Amino acid sequence: MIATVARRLGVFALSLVGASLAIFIICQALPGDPARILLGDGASAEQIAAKAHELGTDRPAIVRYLTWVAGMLRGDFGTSYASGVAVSGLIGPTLPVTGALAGFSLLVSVVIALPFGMLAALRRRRWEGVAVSAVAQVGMAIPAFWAGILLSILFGVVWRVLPPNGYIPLTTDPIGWARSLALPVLALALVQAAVLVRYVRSAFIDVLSEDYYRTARAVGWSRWGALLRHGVRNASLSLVTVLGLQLASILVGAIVIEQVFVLPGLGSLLLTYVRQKDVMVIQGVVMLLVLAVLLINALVEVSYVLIDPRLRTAER
Amino acid sequence: MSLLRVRDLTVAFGRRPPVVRGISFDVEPGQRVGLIGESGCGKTVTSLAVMGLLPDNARISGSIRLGDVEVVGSSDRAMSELRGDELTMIFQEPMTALDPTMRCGRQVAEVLRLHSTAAPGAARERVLVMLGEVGFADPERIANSFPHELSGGQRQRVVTAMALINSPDLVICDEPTTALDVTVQATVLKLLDRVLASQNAACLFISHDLAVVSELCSDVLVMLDGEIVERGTASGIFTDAQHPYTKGLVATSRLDLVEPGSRLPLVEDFYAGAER
Amino acid sequence: MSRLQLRLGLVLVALVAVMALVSVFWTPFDALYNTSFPRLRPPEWPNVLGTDRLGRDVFSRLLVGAQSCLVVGVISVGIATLLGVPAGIVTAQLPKAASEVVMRATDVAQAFPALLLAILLAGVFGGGTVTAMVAIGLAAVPQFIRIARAGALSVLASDYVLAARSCGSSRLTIARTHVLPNIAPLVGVQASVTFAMAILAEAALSYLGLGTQPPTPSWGSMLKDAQSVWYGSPLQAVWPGIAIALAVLGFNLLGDGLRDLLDPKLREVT
Repeated sequence: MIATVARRLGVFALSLVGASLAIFIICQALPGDPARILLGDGASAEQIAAKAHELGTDRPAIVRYLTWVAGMLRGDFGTSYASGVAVSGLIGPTLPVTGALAGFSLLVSVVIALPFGMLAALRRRRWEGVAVSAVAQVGMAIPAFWAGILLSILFGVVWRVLPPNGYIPLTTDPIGWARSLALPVLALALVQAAVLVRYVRSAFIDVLSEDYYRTARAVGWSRWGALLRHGVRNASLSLVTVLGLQLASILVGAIVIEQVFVLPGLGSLLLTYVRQKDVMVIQGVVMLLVLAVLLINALVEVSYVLIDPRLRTAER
Repeated sequence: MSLLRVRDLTVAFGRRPPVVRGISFDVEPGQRVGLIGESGCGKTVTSLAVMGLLPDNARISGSIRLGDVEVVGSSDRAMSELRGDELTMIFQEPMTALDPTMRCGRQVAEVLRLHSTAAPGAARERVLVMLGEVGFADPERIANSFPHELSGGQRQRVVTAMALINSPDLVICDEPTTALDVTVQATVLKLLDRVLASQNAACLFISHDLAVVSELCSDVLVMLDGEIVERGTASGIFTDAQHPYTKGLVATSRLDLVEPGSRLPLVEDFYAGAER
Repeated sequence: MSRLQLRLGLVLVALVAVMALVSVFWTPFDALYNTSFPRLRPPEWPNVLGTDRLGRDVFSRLLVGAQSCLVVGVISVGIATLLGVPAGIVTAQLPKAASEVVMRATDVAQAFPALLLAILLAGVFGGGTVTAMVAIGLAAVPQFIRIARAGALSVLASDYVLAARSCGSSRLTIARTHVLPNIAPLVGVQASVTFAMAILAEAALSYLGLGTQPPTPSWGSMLKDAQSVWYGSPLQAVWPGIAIALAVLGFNLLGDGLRDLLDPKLREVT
């Protein structure tokens, strides 16, 4: 078991190196010299050289890469070329916003998808099951940001029960915070739940055909009882993989949803600096998002060992 | 009064022709009845019908009375209370019949708790006794094992313990030994025989193997194409089979009577319709 | 069931294709520059779906929007297929260690979802249709490598490939005559599902202003415009969304239907 975790950590570290290299190389392709762009056309060659030295852009690429990585290991994501602000200072305040949005969305989508997916599996030959599958199929096709726009119009503008957009920090007003997050979370979670329902359904259909499910039924479990008691744990073996993928697509979906609801999260930060082509901020934020995705994947693989006793003894 | 009384049972799936066609039989308290037939003849469907575990798309008619309860048409909830308590089933595949993510002791204890309000300590004690009864010398170790750590024969004994821990009146065994090695088969059969006798439980034993059935059962039903074609005592079937298919079964199960050098008998030698 | 899915999928995909095709030759009004109508008109003749905030006919813009949706889909799926399938087949024939390295690389690449890669590329090269297509296509390459590799591995292990080899067929011939035809169904299913993903990604990028650029209409940017006028004309936010959902639904159903149709064969292969 420890060997599995150690090997997985090694793969994780290698993946991080690969991902950071990829991001750095793409960002190097930025046309034009940052110093020249910053100073404008009127600047003299000496001024540009001095600025480049100040920014560090005159050093060889490998040195810049290593400086960047070494900085990140200390929590220092470099300095924005345009504004001269520390990137970590920009990222810091956005993390609770995006974190809450993504976390709650995942939670809500699982809470929705589990019961409906199980229903769709148990009643797959009846109208209830077919209806759930059909709704999920349609839900998957709806862009999360469109769902957000519609929710915002309906609840925020037409019925006026929730704020149509904007963000209130938790520390300022907890109830206002919850209300400001409700619609974005719902928009993201509903669409993700539709995707998840399909996976839950097929995972539980597999369980239904298993002999241990039949045994559980033969000793007196009801359909739902047998599924909950013996199905969830077995189905979760395939579902944690999906959850990992889901969290990744929720993080990306959050970037767009933050735009719909004007939330000051990581996505809004990224898009602001994408428009300004500020490489230091872009590569920092993208690295952070990719780190999160890779970390989730690593955790998913470790969690198999925790769920499945067969893997535990195999490692012994 | 019969413990199990099946009358005119017909089962069909979807729009296809019925797989069980109007069969009737009784099982008395403590009686052991063998249900014999080739695969696909409807014997497993019959047993699932008695358990009330047929899939959604099954159409079922006739009557199945368990004591004074009518199984056909009764709610899943009502059946769930009977299953595991008064009526239970042991399945064919011991390798996969247990939840791989749960320790065996807990799986047995769960059956106990589903149908009674035993205190956890007492339940544990009862589980260990039951595991001892199915022939484990070290019940404690077995209770703490995951299914994949046990052999097929051991798992089948755990499944038997699960089935019998609530002293059911009727145990349905669906080819419980088919997937096991021949040597293990004999042990498990002996064990079943002993446990059934000690609990005085009735048994409907499903098999394609006349020899296995005759070891355990007093009476035999022979099933072919969804119908019961012959019934009688286990010993009577061997000496006095009427239906050609039964004659074939008897001949193929008594290979010790075949003269050395001659061809082994086939069921088809006696009943042309057996092979399709 | 699968027939129904397949048919419904085909109908929806055909609908989008017809919209795009018709709009190349004819739209009720000019979709880009005809601003002669009253602004934010509700649906009434001759503007069957109303007009946008510049007074352009929404129905015409919706038709032309199908073009960007299809073009981005076709090109990005094309990029993913042309890069991913050969790479997957080659990977299947590499020695174990090298193959392992490639698979680990695709793992890392999968940590870059299409949208994130597109935003990253937009930050460096500027946003636009080309950036969007390249990013969406590249992001889908790992999936195609995986599928092609898995399919190729099972085909290469089969007896008829062994027979072909013993007759002296070259690797290239085997790849062309045995591997490609056998993995084509798998790739087709993946292409259909990727197409749906590409439509969603393009819509999101256009919504963010990093995809199709104005004045060319795309469904995503139409939703962006609609959002700024939702107080006055909420219906504007409905039509493009429905169009996106139907197109995505079409390709998803097509993929599912194909998969079910091929299932016995798929089970054989995988």
